[in-house]
Amino acid sequence: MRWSAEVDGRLVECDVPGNASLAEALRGGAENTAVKVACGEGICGACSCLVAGERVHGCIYPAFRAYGQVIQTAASFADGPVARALVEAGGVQCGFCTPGMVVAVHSLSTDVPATEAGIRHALAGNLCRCTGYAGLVAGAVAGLQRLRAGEP
Amino acid sequence: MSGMPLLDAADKAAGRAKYLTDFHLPGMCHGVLVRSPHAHALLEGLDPALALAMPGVLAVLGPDDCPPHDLPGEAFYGRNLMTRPLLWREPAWLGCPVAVVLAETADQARAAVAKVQVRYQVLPHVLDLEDALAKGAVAAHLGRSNLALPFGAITYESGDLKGVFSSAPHTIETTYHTSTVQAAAMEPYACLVEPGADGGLIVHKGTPAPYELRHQMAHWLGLRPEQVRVVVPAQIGGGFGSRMDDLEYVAALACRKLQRPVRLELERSEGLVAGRVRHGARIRVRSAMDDDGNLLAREIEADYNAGAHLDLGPYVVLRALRPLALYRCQAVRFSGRLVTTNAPVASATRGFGNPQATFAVESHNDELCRRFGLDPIEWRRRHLLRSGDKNLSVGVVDTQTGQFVAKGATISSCALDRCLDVVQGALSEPVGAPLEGWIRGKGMAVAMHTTGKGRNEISNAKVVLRADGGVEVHSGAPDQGGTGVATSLAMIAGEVLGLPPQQIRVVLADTAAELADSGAHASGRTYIAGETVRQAAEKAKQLRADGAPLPIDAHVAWSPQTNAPPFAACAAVVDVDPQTGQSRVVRLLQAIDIGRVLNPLMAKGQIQGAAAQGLGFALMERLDFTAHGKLLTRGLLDYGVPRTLDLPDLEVVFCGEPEPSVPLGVKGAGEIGLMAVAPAIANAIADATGARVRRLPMDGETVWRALNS
Repeated sequence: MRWSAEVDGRLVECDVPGNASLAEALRGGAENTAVKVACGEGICGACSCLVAGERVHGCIYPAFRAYGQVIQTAASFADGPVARALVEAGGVQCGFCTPGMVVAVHSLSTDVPATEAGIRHALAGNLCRCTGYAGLVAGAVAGLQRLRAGEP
Repeated sequence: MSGMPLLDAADKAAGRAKYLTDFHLPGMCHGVLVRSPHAHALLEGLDPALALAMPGVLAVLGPDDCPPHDLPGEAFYGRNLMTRPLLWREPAWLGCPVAVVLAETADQARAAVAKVQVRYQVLPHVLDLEDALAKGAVAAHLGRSNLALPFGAITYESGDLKGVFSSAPHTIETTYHTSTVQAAAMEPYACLVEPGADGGLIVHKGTPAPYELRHQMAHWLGLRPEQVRVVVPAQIGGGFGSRMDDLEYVAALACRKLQRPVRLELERSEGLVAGRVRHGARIRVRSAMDDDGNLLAREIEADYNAGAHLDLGPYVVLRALRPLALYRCQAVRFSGRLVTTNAPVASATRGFGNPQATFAVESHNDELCRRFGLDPIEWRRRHLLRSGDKNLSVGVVDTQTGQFVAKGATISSCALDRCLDVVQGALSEPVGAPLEGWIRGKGMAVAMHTTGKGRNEISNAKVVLRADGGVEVHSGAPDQGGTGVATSLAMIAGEVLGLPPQQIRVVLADTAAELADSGAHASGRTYIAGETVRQAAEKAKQLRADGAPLPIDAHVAWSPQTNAPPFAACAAVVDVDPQTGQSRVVRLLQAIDIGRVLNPLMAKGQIQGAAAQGLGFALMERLDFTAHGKLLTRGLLDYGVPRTLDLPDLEVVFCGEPEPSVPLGVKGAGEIGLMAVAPAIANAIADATGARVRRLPMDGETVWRALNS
């Protein structure tokens, strides 16, 4: 099927199979490398992206439901305060889960406290096999604080 | 905390970094493996006609098209035990590849896999190590003994073991079990092979050993080594040893047939049984003690579940020697066996045979301290190795007899005493109160690992000072997915040349560069490739000082003389709910000796990441099968990888002094943080409940049963 959406501020048009997932559409059609597929069953969060501001798991979200929508991947938040804080805290090792972590932090509503406990609950759906989450959690707390302080 | 993030961290966080699964080549086609749905069977027929008629399908290759992988490796007892089929006529585990379908797209290949008509004669299977060792056990391979080593066991003995045991006033014997677990790296297992110049191939693969792979691939295909170029992607989504999975051989075969680039990429459910796994183990520890609780002699019998073929198993089981070597006593005996079963193939996985044995020995030490009413930290201070002691765990196996011969290596640096001080301090701090109804306990354990394989290690490096002022570091070593090899090498060259690491271009692991390297195994690359780069940078600096014109190209090859063991002591505070057996680790602190800490920020990350895998190994992870051999843990939904809420903040205290065997002063950081975690948690659970759990994972049911038995 012909598929189109606004992806990271750019209009994307491509052909995808009718049963394609959003991750397949973004990775295959839109050549977006900021969406990673690690589990394929919506359990690890590596494929996290925002559809009209709502966080979804791209690997199990049907592409057709995102048709014509505004989609944000980690590329939308590249080098922003959250990404920078994750890097500085040593939260990036292999990096395969990192874009999904960046999107997850950007998706948090204002009632999530920017504390270690708040972040541990908020990121429980994002798997990482490298870091033991210590650098990731510290970076996400700092990043969320900076984001809320309006840091560019 | 100082140090620097990985040089590519910002690109990774932005999603700009390209992994193998992001590579697309013109004309690329895709392969999907046809996998046995049975744990053990014989192929009676394989008819690809229906699959070949599916849209986009290019070819179907089966066992007849695929020679076995007879790698030119070490022969045991005159036979290369590691030789295996790549597409199997007698599939010997669930998910064992029997054929590959090649198509224009991965979806087309996957659809056609279902149309390949395979007739199986289902055979009896055996999954469990103890079942496989029982009298009259089912043979995991037709006509072969499940005891895979022709000499039975790898053995080592020193001192008068029988004499000491027969005269000792006390003997303590306990047996421990660990489960088969998966490294479950985040990036799916994948490879990409394209036709190369001169009738050869270019292999893109996240292998830890590109030069070894080139050698073996060329031998297998009857090519010259120069015709095979292995390129390790700069970014790999986690390795942990588990990416040595043979996929590239099947892709190479397909590429040779189609003369097109071929990519194989596994789905997670395939990766859980097709990637290499950590050996499940049964380990018996027996100690002879005097009346004061002094250790007089010790023996370990380790049986490791090799799965469907040996792979690196003989080397893995040998690493069960490390915790035996860690304690001084008059006599020791070791026996290590490999048991073939119809479980997934076990091989290198972060820790390489050591986590299983360290769990057993460090649990056993806690049990004997309790028996004698001794403080576990003071007892360890009495018996632990020190700098200058012999390290019996370094040596070689006589491949005719199975006898291990220790090389007489010496411990060049050991800060375990200081590590114990830190752990003692941490455990003496008040721990607060657990949740209502839960009980809290404290435990500790220690471990020794290695820096490099201890033999046959080599690295080559070139430091180039370009005419335009740029500086390049070229090394044969690969980065194994965020371990930070590239960043470390840039820091090391920068330190010598007085440059910030960000200004140095690092190029790794492309065999076209002809910079042979023995590979990213055994926590060795910062020490081995790092020291090589340091020497190359010194050479370049000297040439420049002597007035040599630019460009300067300084090449160094270097082999280490020792294995410079790193050490760890771990303190755990654990809460247990006696109603359910559920455990929660509320504090985990590791005191670590990795010599000089080159990059504290990322070294800490290595220890923390290893600790998380150690906690998963301790409490959560197990590849689980039904009695019929079907996999229960089919994906990350079922397989218990620790999440943010399963872990406390992971504390790391570095205690080492610069290692004297290299000017760089470093030791291996990649694995040591995993070893002591599971026994420290087990010892804390025993402290809390009085119940000793001798089986991993210590999940709720296992602990509940221990409490109620």
